[in-house]
Amino acid sequence: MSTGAAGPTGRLQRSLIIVGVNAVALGLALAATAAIVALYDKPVGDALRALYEGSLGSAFAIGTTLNKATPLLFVALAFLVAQKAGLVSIGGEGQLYVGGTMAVAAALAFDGLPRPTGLILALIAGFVGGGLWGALAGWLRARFEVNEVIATLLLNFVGIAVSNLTVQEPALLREPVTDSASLPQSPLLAQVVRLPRLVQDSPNRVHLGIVLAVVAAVAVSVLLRRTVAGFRIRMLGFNPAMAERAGVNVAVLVVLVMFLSGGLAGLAGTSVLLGEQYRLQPEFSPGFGFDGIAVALLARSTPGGAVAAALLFGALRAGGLRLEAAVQVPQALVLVVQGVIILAVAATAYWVERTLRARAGADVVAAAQPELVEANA
Amino acid sequence: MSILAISIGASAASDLAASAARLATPIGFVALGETFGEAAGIINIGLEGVMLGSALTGAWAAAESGSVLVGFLVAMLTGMGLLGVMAVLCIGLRANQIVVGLGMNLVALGATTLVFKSVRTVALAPGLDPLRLGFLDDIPFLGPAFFRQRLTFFALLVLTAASAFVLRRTAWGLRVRAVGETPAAADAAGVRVDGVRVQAMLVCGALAGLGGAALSIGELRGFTENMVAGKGFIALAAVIFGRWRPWAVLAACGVFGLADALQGQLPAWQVNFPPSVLRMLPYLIALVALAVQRGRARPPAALSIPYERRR
Repeated sequence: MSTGAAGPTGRLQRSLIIVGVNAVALGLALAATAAIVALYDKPVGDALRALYEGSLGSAFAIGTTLNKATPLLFVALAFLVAQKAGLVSIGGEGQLYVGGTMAVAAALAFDGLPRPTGLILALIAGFVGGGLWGALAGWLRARFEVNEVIATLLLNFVGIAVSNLTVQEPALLREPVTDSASLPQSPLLAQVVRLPRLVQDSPNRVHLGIVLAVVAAVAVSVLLRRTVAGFRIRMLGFNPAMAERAGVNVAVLVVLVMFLSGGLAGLAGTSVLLGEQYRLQPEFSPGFGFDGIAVALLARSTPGGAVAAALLFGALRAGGLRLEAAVQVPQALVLVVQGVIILAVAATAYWVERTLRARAGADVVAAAQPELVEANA
Repeated sequence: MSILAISIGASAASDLAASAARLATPIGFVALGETFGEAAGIINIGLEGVMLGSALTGAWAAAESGSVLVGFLVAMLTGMGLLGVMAVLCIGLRANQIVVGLGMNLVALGATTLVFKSVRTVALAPGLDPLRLGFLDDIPFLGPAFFRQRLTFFALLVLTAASAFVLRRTAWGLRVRAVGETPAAADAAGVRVDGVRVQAMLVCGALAGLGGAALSIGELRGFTENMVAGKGFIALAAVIFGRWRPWAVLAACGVFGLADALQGQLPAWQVNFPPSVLRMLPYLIALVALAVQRGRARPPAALSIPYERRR
């Protein structure tokens, strides 16, 4: 049996192919940017400079990039944890709404506690809220055979509506209605329950969320690669029948994985609300739950890659803000660029996998789980 | 007194039914299209984007030509073109259907917003007026509710009947369902799996394009930024709720339309009911329905799985 994929040469080839494909995708995205900017009759150089300055060019820009990357990274991790178990969850958006709402509820309830107890309780609430929303989809799948793609999709809309409901009802989280003009929103969160800024007295507004997200990426990586639970998760994804026969309680594991996945997505909403917006408002997420899936794809479902891809998309979002102000090209351009990257990567994914598998010989296990073969070598 | 109350109640109910049918119409076209796609084993998360793209080109063509018909035709072709691109990716290149759909949504939202901000003429387009169907109009309740709709509503009913017939009773419909359930068996029987899937996707695109135009030309007379606002996802949910059968899918669209219409009507009736609860209700009903009918409410077995011949 060939174990080419796991050897040093195989590793290098694999990395080269993936880097090459991502470079092509980014090149296409750059070409799309240039074409659109040219259509607007603006200098392409100015536009690229604005993108750079808005994402990396100043302390403020770097902070914006990191803060925009945070929810994307959490959602990407949520998606890839489920994917490793063979579950396709597109419920990140609903989970982040429910998680964020629970976090704000906890933050408002516990803001009298000494720092950092209230914040920690709010983070736990955010994780548990998103987790329960994810677990609900897992339970529907395990108990009632409802396809998880469909269950998570439908639960998105319910989750968003639940969150909106809490800020529309004075009995729930809505701040006291003083006159007919008061908006449906929660009270402002107290300083003690906000995610602290990492740099004091600086235009760089980066908050603790990005650190938590990177820690989560490391934790997910360790869980999947180095623990028994992670082995079971991957076995479930690799071959559910085999997992069942090996003594894995598939129904319970599906619910647990969806709880973990939903919890990570819940932290995405939590980080946005506790770190940037400081209060709950209706429709607070501009689709992080969907963009994060794209991040996971771009990363080919590795936690490390997800960090890099989230930073890239975060930089695009941050740069887009500047683009509109400096060159008068609408920041909607950034959506097109993201979409082009996603489509280019999706278009080549099958070819890449097939090429890699061919290089790995017929050894499917080696192709799917190179680290196992490596450990045996 | 009570007769008065009843007659007011009846007119309120027919108003409600009328606006439910009106709101459900654009979603209905898209859901009908997706019924073909999913029957063939293709799930399209990008309907939102397809609808947006065709709503824009339809409004543009109608505004430029002054003809509603031209607008609908261009929208239909746009939908087919976008689904053609998705077919190249999902079938030709075996790309992940969910990811391609997400990418399509982003590109369409971005591109239509860019166009909308520079080509202002798309904001105003000629539109369709509700029809007056003579004697049918006078039927109590049904007349005001269903016979003062726009032409798009009646076109949708005809297309639903046609779709039910095509999917159930024709050889092509059988092939579509076969490649969605057991592509390997269909392949062995000599059906060109990828070819049939592409055809189903193009039908989906044509119908989704009509849905976009039904919104931008038929109803709102012009395009605005992100005007679809989740209707593409609702169509997707309606297909599931309707269990992949055209008439049931249409009925599911009606339920979503009713929830939408109630949100608009309840304040006028001085009923204080949280709109968010109304908004989530259809999705909850769909979920409960799927859970209760487990096994029987099964999606096409090969849904979202690219077909690969075994070597």
